[in-house]
Amino acid sequence: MSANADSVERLLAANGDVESVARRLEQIGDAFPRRIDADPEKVERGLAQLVLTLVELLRQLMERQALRRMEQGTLDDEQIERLGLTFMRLAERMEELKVEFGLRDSDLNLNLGPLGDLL
Amino acid sequence: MIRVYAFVHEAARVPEIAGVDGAPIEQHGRGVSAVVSRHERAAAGDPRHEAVAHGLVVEALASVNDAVLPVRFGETFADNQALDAILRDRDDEIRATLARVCGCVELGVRVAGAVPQRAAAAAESGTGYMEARLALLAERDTVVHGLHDELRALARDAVQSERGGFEGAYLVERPRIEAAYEVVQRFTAAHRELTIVCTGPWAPYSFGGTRA
Amino acid sequence: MTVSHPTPLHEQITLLELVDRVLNKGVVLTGDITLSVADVDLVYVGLRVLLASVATLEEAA
Repeated sequence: MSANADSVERLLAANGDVESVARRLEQIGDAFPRRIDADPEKVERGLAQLVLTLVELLRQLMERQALRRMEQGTLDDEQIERLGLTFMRLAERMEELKVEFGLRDSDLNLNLGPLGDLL
Repeated sequence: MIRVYAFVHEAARVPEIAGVDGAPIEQHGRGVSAVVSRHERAAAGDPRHEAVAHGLVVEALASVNDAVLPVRFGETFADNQALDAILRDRDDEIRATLARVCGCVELGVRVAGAVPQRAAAAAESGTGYMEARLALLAERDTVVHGLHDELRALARDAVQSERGGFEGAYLVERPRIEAAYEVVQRFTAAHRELTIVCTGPWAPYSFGGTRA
Repeated sequence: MTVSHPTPLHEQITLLELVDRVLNKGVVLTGDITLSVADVDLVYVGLRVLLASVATLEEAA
């Protein structure tokens, strides 16, 4: 794809401690106000949608990276167990946040904003 | 400032389409020639619009010519001499590449990297979760490699990479493009759990031979 | 991130694919690209749609 796709993966790898990144991602949900707002016009929901989409993207990237390392045999049993628990927790947290914000999987797609106005 | 869009043979048709900043496009060079536009100054507009304009010129060229070698967006030359030097230096290489892509178009296939979050999430341990996820990923890989192999068999050349998801480009002779679409459609229909995006036909961007 | 008028998904994908090709593929001549697109990789971010489920694409089509 492009250099920046590589950059994200390098960033994730460099961070080494997937768990701390995952912990930060889990905490992102705490930054949002607690009331559920079903009105799609509201800014908070739009912001939540954007942030959760990015979180979901990162989660998937991190998990896939870890799975590839597991496939190659470069993770030990303890690491696999710890990473697995981390990703499970993160996935559960994502589900909770989606429910809280009334977002479905289909909402977590970035509308192609940056190029949308070109057409 | 001279912008370069693509290389073509001398006898190529140049379509009626404007280039970046609305500048007219023209052919420059003998034998192997460059399709260019000439500008007084650097463009002041949105680079994204310019990139799209560049791409539209390349596609227009490919729609009326058998052999087009797309040049990356943003390549500029100060004057004709600089451009001529490149055409001279790389003449053999460009000729060879034009011959390789002649009569072909590029088919692009992307398969999303994500594996659906299913009951694997209800694993009893971290290891159990990872094993379940890995099994799903391996299933996806098998399908993706199968698709790639079938398309590669239909193509004159193929490139692939895995970055966030599978990305394949296939240099397909025009008469075989329908067969290639059918392969993709068959795989898509058989694997609703995967997100497969097929685009094209494109000019052969991925088969220029030279990489940055 | 605002969109003034949403466009059909397939048009958006085609546009993104085109931009990806001209920015990242094609023959490199001087290696000296005059214009660089913004740091935020529009194509990468835009292609996030590919991580969606098939159902989503069908829904939008």
